[in-house]
Amino acid sequence: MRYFGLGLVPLFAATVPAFAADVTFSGTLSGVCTLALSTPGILALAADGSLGTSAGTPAILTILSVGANTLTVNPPVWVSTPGGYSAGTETFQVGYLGLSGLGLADQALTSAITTRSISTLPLSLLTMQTRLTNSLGFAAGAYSAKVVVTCS
Amino acid sequence: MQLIRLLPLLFIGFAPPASACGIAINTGGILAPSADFTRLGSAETGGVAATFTVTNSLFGGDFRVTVDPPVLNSTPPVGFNTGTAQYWVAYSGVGILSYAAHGYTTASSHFDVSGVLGALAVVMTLHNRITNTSGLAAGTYQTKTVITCS
Repeated sequence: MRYFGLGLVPLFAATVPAFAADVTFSGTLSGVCTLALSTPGILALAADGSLGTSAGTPAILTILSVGANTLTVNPPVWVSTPGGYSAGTETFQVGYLGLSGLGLADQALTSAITTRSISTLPLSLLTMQTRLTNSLGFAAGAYSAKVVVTCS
Repeated sequence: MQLIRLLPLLFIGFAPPASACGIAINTGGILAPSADFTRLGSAETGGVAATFTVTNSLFGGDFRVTVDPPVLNSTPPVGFNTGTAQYWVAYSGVGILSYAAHGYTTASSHFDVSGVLGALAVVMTLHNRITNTSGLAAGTYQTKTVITCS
């Protein structure tokens, strides 16, 4: 019987040694830039007679950049105007802000095409302002304008 | 009397082998970007999960499988901010190890396997994911997850 007891000890005292393995993952991310319209802007007549987002609502774009890209913002153009609208001397201005903390300077209202070099950027918001003027004023009705923004 | 003297030899013969539990890597994983490019992970479209097999020998005893959070296994692309990056891991088992599942976590986690299950060989699925509040830079990424059984 003494032998029986000695035989049980190695059965329950045996330990499981540690065993480790590495699992690897790999992947390549190509450069890309994405733009999406988060909130369309709303035009309204301002006290100075201009039509724009200062009296309405600015548009908000979401932008994300993987690697280096160039953001290009064009001045606004008409999409539609009411039947009674007569184009005199018009100005079309656009401005934006919101990415200065990530390397993009804010842009005051301008009629020029503007560009910004951007590097890796998480999903961020870009607030767009527009201002439209017409020497002949604005007839009553619905106006629609667009700002073309590209990133590549 | 002769029978009693033989008993110790029989029990010693059933003692567990030196390596009772084991981890065998079947396939590595492939990371792919999410549709909005905010994540790089094996569960995204185009990504592939890794698989590994948990083994235990007959009478191998209880053991614990520990899954560490991923780490970068190579130099990340230029522009990748490692200070704001997070590395996630998730895993799931099937059959008798279907309970051994964990959603995405950045911490170490584990599951216990009972030796009463006897001889065991179960394939587990493992996912890795990278996120970064500073964005993802273009280039090649490689992560590594260490799995330990003890």
